[in-house]
Amino acid sequence: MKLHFEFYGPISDRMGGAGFSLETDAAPQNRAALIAWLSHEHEGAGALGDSHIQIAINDELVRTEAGFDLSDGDRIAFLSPFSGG
Amino acid sequence: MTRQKIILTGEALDIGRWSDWLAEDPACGAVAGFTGLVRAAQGLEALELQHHPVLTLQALERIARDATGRFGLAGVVLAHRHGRMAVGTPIVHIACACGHRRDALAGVSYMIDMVKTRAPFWKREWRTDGPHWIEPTQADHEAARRWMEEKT
Repeated sequence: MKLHFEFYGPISDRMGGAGFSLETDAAPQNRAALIAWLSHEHEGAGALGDSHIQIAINDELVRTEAGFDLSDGDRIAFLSPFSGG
Repeated sequence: MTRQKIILTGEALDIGRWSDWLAEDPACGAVAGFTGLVRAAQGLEALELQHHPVLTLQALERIARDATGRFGLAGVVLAHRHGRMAVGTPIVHIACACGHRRDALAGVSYMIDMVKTRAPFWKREWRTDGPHWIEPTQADHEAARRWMEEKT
């Protein structure tokens, strides 16, 4: 399956841009496994382990401790801590 | 029924028009407002605000809805810019209309504290020596937490 990754805020600098796509046969099923997998694919991905970074799947925030069931074409966004206003 | 305008735009904010619109309700004895501007700083050339294409507007709508319920507001305007802005440009405008001043003022204060920490925006300063991301401050988080701990 193909997964699309998006990066918002400062984390986009560590990840080399706004996003990329990866192929996998065995999609990770929780945040820790997802970051471990990404760390093998991208040297900056260790920074995604910061607990202040939130994850959204297909534009819906997911709870940090919850598992997830990814499907082909899913978009996984990593959101740096917010700094609006 | 609450009058509400939630605006997320890459264009200049038309602040005067929205405040006038809120003041049209004769039941409202108070319209309170806050406007945040790009503040001048040494070497600052521009401020950039990134946003999420879906989650940011949802967060602004939720903040306005929460404030309306919490303070019994009759009207709310929450307008936020994204994109690149020059010094002096309005970034965010919040206005609350209510029967009396206290709830209108509290509504504005609540909403800006929430926008700072609960709405997906990312601020980057473009300075003469290059781009710099701005992190949320501890004071911002504490301000938002105080509202959460306070009884309605």
